[in-house]
Amino acid sequence: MMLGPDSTLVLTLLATLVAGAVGAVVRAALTVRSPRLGTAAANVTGTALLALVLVALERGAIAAEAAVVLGVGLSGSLTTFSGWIALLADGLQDRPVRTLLVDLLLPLLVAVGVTVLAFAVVA
Amino acid sequence: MRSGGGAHGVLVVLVYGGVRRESHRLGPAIASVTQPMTPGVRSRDRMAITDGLIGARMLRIALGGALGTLLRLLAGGLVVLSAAPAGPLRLLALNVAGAAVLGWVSVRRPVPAAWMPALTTGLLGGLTTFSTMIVQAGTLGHDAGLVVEGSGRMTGAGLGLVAGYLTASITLGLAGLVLGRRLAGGGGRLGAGR
Repeated sequence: MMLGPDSTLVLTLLATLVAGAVGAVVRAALTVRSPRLGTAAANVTGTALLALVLVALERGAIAAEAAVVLGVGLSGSLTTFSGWIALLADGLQDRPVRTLLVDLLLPLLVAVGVTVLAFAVVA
Repeated sequence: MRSGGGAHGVLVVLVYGGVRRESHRLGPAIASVTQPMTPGVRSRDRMAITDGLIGARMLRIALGGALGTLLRLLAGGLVVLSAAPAGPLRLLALNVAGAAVLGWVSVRRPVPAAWMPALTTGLLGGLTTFSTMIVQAGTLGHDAGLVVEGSGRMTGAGLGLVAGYLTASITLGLAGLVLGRRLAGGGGRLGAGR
């Protein structure tokens, strides 16, 4: 059955919301035992996923709709800014040096490094 | 109709699959908590109860995550896939607003305790995003044309722009969180369930 543009848009939107739900559940499962490590793992993994999706889109390996579902839905919801900031705020009160190094700089540098690496491969 | 039903089926399978795996990991710990309340319940039945509790929690988080994703889409979540110049600023505003709301919510707790993870981990976690912030930051220098001709590498000014964007995001996010807590009359630590 051929799908019209409207149907494709609706299906993409639905799939993106489902992917967002899955991303949130995976993040919740990762952070059950250790919110700090779980959040860092989710953020780094999600950023790597987004970089790979954009690289694949750039190379024409995946359709734009798939990129939206994976990039905006799954990756966007797997990673979190607000939860990460809340962890930083609490950590900076208790253990400022460890928080700065492990919770702030490490995931930030790894995520930026992964993104730069992915785009360097394309270039 | 059939396609919509299929998407719902995928949601149920993926979400419930994750819930089942997680419940087996957490089952014994939660069973020990529920044991005093249900002394006559056999361990197998207790596991079924804990499975149900964790399943309900995860389904609420899934619901919140879908809603947060929808709000992010409506607020311009597609900017990462386009060259919209307002993208980074819009994302910055969204992330800071999400952190501020999280600060307020964590103090006021405006919903029943069972729904707090759906609101914080699900909705606000899904609304704000770390990955798009990193990618947006990485493309800022290129979009501004601050690259070395020929090599495509960013100039010092481009790298400064990236560092400035990330610093501003984190600083304003922390400020938003503290502001949210203060407006809620708190200022204390966040509880569980972000």
